Parts: sequence; structure tokens; C-alpha cells
Amino acid sequence: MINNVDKNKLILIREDDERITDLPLETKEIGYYKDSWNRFKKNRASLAAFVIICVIFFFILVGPYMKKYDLPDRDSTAASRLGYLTPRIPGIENLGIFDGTKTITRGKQFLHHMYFSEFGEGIILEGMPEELIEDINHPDYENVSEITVKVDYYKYINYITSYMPERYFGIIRENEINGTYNDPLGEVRQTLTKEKFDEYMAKNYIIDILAIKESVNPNNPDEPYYQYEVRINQFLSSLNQLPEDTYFWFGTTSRGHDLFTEIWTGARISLLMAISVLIINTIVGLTLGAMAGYYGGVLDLLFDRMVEIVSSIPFLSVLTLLILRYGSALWVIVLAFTATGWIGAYYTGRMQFYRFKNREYVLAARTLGASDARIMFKHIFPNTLGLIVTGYALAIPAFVFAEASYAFLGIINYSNATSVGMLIQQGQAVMQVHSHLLIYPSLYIAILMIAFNLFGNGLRDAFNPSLRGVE
Amino acid sequence: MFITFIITVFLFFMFIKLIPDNYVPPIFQGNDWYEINRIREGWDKPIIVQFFYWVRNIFVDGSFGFSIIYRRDVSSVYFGKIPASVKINIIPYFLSIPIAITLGIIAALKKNKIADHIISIMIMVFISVPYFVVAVLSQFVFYFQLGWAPSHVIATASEFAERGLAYGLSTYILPVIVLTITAIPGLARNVRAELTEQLTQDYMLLARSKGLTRRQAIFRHALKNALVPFLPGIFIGIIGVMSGGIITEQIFRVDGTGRLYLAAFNGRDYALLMLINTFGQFLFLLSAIVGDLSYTLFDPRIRVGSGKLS
Repeated sequence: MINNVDKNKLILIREDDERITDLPLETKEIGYYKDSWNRFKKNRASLAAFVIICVIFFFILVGPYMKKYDLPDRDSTAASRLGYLTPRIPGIENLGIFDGTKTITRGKQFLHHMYFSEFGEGIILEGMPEELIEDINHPDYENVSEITVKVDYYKYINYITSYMPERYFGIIRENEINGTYNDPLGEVRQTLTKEKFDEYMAKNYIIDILAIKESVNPNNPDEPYYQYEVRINQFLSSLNQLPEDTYFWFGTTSRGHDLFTEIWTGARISLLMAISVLIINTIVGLTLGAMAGYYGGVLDLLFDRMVEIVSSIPFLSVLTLLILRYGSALWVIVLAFTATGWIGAYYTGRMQFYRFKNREYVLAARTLGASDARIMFKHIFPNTLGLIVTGYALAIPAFVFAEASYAFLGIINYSNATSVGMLIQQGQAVMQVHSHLLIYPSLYIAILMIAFNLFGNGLRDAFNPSLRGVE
Repeated sequence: MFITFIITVFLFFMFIKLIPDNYVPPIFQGNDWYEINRIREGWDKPIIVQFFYWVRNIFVDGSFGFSIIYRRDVSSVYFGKIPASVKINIIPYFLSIPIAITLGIIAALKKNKIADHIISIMIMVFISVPYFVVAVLSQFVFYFQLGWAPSHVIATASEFAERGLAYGLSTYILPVIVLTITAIPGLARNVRAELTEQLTQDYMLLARSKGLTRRQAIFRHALKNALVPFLPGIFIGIIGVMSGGIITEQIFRVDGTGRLYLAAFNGRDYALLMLINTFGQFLFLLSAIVGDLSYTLFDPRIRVGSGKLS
């Protein structure tokens, strides 16, 4: 057929000897990481999670220093008197939340006295029946002994720790019945020396003077010692501010620590643990996995048996046995997590090195005389990097999760620190009366876990080239 | 597999024996049990000999050691607690599987529609939030705030006798619901992912082109293939029910094996710890065998004996 064509009919369309080449692409080149970032940005949930994680990290870095509050270190007794304060945030308090109020149920005589005492002014916000205010023995309330009212809890705590203890009327009644002479004001009565008294007087800490005791000074009979029994404004003397000006954003714990600070310090410990575990796991697991995968043979077989044994040991057993042996310091926890945790990195490393070791580029490198170490680190390792990094984002929440769970159970119990799991455990014990101690640590860990998981999923999808263009 | 079991049990044993005992004999009292056990378990001999003493005692006397907190043989303590753990775990287990599979199927079939989004978000939330937070918050909300649940913990045997069967059973409702809800998301997510993948396979196209409706194609072909990977896991889970959960039992005050573990940990009862770890390891071995066997049962492509053993 071809032969039948008359050659004279063929014409040249291009006479000159011009070289025909591909045109260079006019669009900008998009690299692997740039492309991943572009696709990550499209996933709005993950992006939001990323922002939340950044905010959490910011608070973990600066949160513990945001509040100048060193009372627990200075005076733990005074701090524990300020325990269980409810959350109060300046600004937001006017909206009706985080306003430091609390609904409590106390004896009617106590509340009545508080309502009319000068020091207790403005404590009860609502819930006090009108009839009871006018007459404590009002017939409608004859059989009611306890009233539920809403109080400004900061002022209330100041009232009971500095002016009148909650058991005041109870002790008086007991004294009447049993004929004893217990001091009803015993909890708030403080005895001061002359110098201390003058100092507190000048600072206006003293509410009233209950008694002045005189005792003989053996050195100088003309100047006897004076001891002053007084009631001191607790907030003023320990914080140097009035309860109205005091703000604990998330409230205080049973020992009077600021919960906001505690959460971020606890978060710092668990994240520190998670990151150090991750780094150790990766280094150990990848090194062993790389050797097993790259060299193969007997080494691989030996490692395989070892990994089978190690991976069949439950993490809980390792953790409990190590803690029983070495106590509950941070390095023991890290050791427990790494003892079985490197298996995952081992499998990744082994698989990747096994897969790439017979590729052409490895052969080329070897032909050029590269050593094994150079091939492993310079040529194969960069190829596995993407897989490892995306694994990180999902591994961190897993460690935080486990640490929080075992801290909650009391198995992990740091002697010198409080992790978030321990905070939740403490909160659970008192959740009926002091719910803020449970709610805020729980919320923190819930938000952190959701954010990390969303972020990790988004990252995994973004770094997975096979999903390119699917969404 | 069996060798691994023996090695790990020996490792546990050795490590427990390495923990300092710090036993101080009581003054002016008989120290009989210590002397008896010293001879019976060979406490003055090397660890490896002690291990054989321990194994011998199991097979000869059926004894796993002497519990120092309960003052009797550990096996009678431990195995007596298993029913309580099974009781709380078995209902949520059987409830959660059908619900999880159904939700997974719905999410996969309605992919990228509202139903899928809602299910996926719920799965995400409940997978992320730690189980103990869910449990504690549910206690807080449903008992202390709303007052719907009759109690925040389950009833003990004496409360059962005192306040009647109905009250006792009603205390189980909250933990059962919490356990069910927290058991769902993991399985549901996997079912969704697997079924989504099966739906895009070529054989589905073939099934549709030979005239099956979408419903027929899904239920006769895709679903069967999608569920195969999960069936062995479901079998294994039944074994896992026996080991109980520490967190559940601690929060809801179940007098089961999980709390026993904590008691053994806090009381440093090494014989008890040894038994619990061994039994856990035994369950692990058992579930691995059951898993391997059940694969051949459900997946006709896998057969016992064909191909070389690795």
C-alpha cells in the first residue's frame, strides 16, 4: 500500500532544519512537600485541629508562668485553706459563667448570721427566702434546717476561713448538750505576737481582736509580753488582695494549687514523656529494623524471634513490674513505654529497607563504592522519612492516651509532679461537690486527643501520594 | 508460639523474683506460712530452680502460690473473680458488635452524605476521647447532675440482697451503655474502611453488569468480603471478655479481675501478679490459636496445612 504512493505528491511542510523540542512547562513546579501542604490545607478539619494544637502548645510553653501565684510553695497550710475555689475569669464573669459562684446547702442559722454580719455582706447572691431574712424562727421554715443558696464562693471561703467556721453553731449546740467548752471559733482564731500584730494592723489584715493576753516578761517586769488573739482576713494576709480581686481561671485544687497552672504543667510532663518515648523508639526501632532488613539472613531471623517474644509481652505487665522494681520516676515510665514500643518502628524500618535494598539506585551506589552505612543513611533512609514523620502525629496522642489512663488508675504516680491523668483521678473523687476539678482536666484531654487525631489523619492523607487528586 | 509463651512466662517470673521482697518476719509470732512456702516454693534456691518448683506446684497441687494479701491460694482468689468481670463485659460485647457493623455499613453505603458525616464525627470523637474520661463524665452527668442513673457504681452482692434485684440490675445500665458506646467506634471505622474499599473493586462492577441490583450486589458479594477480616477478631474478643478491664472495674467498682490486679499491684502481692500475668499470657496464646484457626473457617482461600509454615 505504502509503495503505491506516488512520491511526487509528497511535499515538505517545513523546509528549514529547525529542531523540535518540548516546550518548558509554564506552571510553577510543585514539590512533594508543597503538594502535601496544599492538600493538607484543603482538609479544613485538620487545619482547625492544627491551629488548636498550636494554641495548646503555646499554653504548655507559657501557661505555667501566666499566673503569679506562689502561695503553695510559700505556705502550704494557708494555700490549702484556699482549696476548691471555683473558676473565675475576669471579663467573662459578667456573662454568668466563670463567675466564681457556687450553690451550697448549709444550716439556716449559719446562713442567717452570715447574711446580717458585716463581714459576710454580699456573699449570698440568691436563694435566701425573704421570710427567713425577717425572722429566723419563721413558722414556715420551722422544720427546715438547711437552705440551698447561691454564694460568691471566693467571699464565702474567706468568710469561713477567717471569720466564722462552718461548724460554729454546731459546736455551740454540742457544748450546750454535752456541757463541754470547745471553742467555736477555734479554726479561725490566730494568736499573734506584738510585732506581728503591729505589722498586720498596719496592713489592715485584722478583722477584730478576740482577746489580749498578758504574760510576765522575766527579763523586764515593767514590759509584759502581749499576745493578741485575732481574726485575720485570710485572702488579704495570704494573697494581699481581696476576694473580689482574686481570680483563679479554672479554680483551685484540694491543696490550693491553681488548676490552670496544674493542667499545663501536667500536660508538659505527658508531652515531654511522649516525645522522648517517640525519639527513643524511633532510634532503637529503626536501627534494628534497618539492620534486619538490609542484611537479612541469620540476623533477620534472630531479630524476628526476639521481636516475637518482646511483642507478646503486654505493656501493662512491663509497666507494673518496672514501677514495682524502680519506683515511679519519669525515666521508668519512658523505659516502660520504650521496652515494647520500638516494635512498631522496627517493622516500618525492616519493611522499608527490605523493599529498597535491591533497587537500582542502591545497586548504582554500591557499584560506585559506597559503604553499607552510607547507602543506609544517605540513600534508603530519606525514602522512609515520610512514612515515619506521619506516624509521629498519630503516635503522640497514643502515648498521651496511655499515660493518662495509667495515671488515672494510680499505676503511674509521679512523686514530684501531677500529670493530667492524676488530676482527673483527684477530680473524680470529689466530683459531687467540686465538679470543676473533674471537668477542666477532662475537657483538656478530650480536646487534645481529638485535635491530635484529626491532625494526624489529615497529615497521613496529605503525605499519601496515592490519594492525590482523589478528594 | 508455645515456646514464646513459656519464655515470656519465665521472663515474668524472673523479673518478679528480681524485685526486692523486703519481707520482715513478725516478732513474737509464728512465721509458719513463710517457712512452709519457703520449702514448698524453694525460696532459698536459684531463680531457675524456683521456676521449676512453681511449675511443679501447678501440676502437682494445682497451686499457683500463696497470696500475701488474701492469705490463701492465689488461684482460688483470682478465678473466683472472673465471673464478675465476665458479667459486666459480656452484654456490651454482644451489643456493640452488631451496632458497630451496622453503623459501619451505613457510613460506607452513604459515603460523603450526611449520615456518613454524622457517624464519622461520632467515631472520631469516641475514638479520640480516652475511655476513662467518657466513663467518669457519664457518671458525673447521669448520676450527679441529672440523677437518671440509680447509682454511679454497680450494686454489690449485699446491696442486691437489701434493695432487690430490680435495683441491682438497674445499676448495671449505665456501665453497660458506656462500655457499649466505647466499644463501637473502632470496629465501625474498620468496617467502613473495608467496605468502602470492597465497593470500588472490579467484581462489584461485574456483579452490577450481570444484572444484580445494587442491593443484591452489596449484600451478596461486597459485604461478605468486607466482613471476613473481622470475624476472627470477634471470636478472639470473647476470650478477651474474661480478662476484664481495669479501668471499667475501677470506675464502676466491679469486684473483678481488673481491680484484683490493682490490689495486687498496690499490695505488692507477687504471687498474684505472677498468676494474673501468666493467665493473661495464656489467654493471648489461646486467642492467637483461635484466631488462626477461625481464619480457615471463614475464608475459604486460607487452609490449614497448605503452604509452608513460617
